[in-house]
Amino acid sequence: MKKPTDTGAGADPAEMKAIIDQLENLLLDLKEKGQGMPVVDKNVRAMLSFVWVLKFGISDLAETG
Amino acid sequence: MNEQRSKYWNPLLETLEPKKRLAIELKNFRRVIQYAKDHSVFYRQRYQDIFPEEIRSLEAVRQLPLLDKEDLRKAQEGREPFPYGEMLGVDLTEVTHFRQTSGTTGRPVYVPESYESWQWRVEVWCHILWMAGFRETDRVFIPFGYNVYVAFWEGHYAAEKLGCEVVPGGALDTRGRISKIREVRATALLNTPTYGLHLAEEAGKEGVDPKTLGIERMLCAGEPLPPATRQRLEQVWGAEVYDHIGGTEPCAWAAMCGERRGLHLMEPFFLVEILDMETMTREVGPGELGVAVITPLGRRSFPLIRFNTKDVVRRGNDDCPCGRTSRMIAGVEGRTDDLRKIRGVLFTPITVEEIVRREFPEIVEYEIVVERKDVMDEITLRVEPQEEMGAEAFKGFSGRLSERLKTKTNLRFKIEPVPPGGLPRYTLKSKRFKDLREG
Repeated sequence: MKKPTDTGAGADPAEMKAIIDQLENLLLDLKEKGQGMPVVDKNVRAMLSFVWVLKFGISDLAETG
Repeated sequence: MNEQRSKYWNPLLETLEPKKRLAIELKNFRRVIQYAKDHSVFYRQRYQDIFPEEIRSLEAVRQLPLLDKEDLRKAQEGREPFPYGEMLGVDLTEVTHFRQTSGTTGRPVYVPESYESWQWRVEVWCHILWMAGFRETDRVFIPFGYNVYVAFWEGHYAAEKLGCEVVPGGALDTRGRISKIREVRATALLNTPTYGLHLAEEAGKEGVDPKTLGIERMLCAGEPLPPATRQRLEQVWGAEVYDHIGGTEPCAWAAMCGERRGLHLMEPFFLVEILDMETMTREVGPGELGVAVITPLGRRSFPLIRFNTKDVVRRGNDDCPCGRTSRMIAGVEGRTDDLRKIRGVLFTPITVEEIVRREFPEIVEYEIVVERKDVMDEITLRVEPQEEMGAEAFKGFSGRLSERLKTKTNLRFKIEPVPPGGLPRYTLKSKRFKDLREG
């Protein structure tokens, strides 16, 4: 694993965006598979909120190059 | 990366080139408008002739109408769904946090946050706390019963997300809170400037020097923090004191970094416009005063587009040594609501706060009262000194004070002494300015 830099300068927003997108898709899949069970619904909702935050801080950077 | 050593919460975002940042802001602004039109009755009507894809520049943004608190009140009062009315941007069942404004300027506005919107607000605060040096090793004491007022909730959740240990200090009186700070060995505080001074005053009465309580940093919220007040707090607490600016409706949109030389705009979480007070159409330049107009770009539960905060700020220079590229303001100079014409002179109460805290440490509390006497406006500064002053001593003191006020405000104040303990103490926002000419 590549050693992270102290300032994040070496971090690739595009790579991270791809993972964030996967996370979102996985969570939506999980929600569907959960068929309305509160344990799944509510926890997925919570996790999707953090995905939303990551989109702001990371995915946006990749999208505007 | 040892995140404890990382200067930035998000190094990529905080050092982003301004042109790229603006591109992100405009993209998200278009998204907010489309979302608001699709999900909010209020915006569907307001923006029926607005097409988001056409908004490609700040000039285009400025063609859109401003929004103010009265618009929010009208969109809520008597409108469904209760209590948020036509501003609501999500289904009512998605609202997980009820907040409201303090009601200082009229009927409170109710602000709904969904789980997602709340986490977005908290994320902004994570930036703010990180900039102020809060870390996992901090034990943060919040000396308030949070009630429905948002700032301390945001601070609490964000401190928790950072990994701090959070000690809520509601259901205690001031003496109880001072004891608790000492008992748990808190390292950081979140409070209003007024309460920070009040805590220090009460500690002093118990023979406790606040500097011995071990507080290393304090983030202030809830009311303006003029430089002199910040310096007074740093002096009495022996701590670094940080300012930030925000509101229940627009969220926290500017904050201080470790340099403490002004405040960074929390871009690109917000589209922030600092506009001239006369026309509200021109972005002001460094050193100029302007009114902050805010569009939160990630909050879907309560879309707010070009919200006129009525905060009057001074645009700063964007050359902070911290390396963040966000634009800066020097600080809040008051509110347009607080600006008053007194004997034809434009006056803002924050000027008095600055003079009192910087130059007159003998004043513990004060109050400004404006009255109409016959046809003339009279402005009185009621002052409560630390100790009773004799008549001669008070004469000399009030002469000096009156001269300084005249120099800074162009107004001749009447100075009235109040016995020690005679003025109210505020635990949340101060209400030191009373204009009795109205209503």
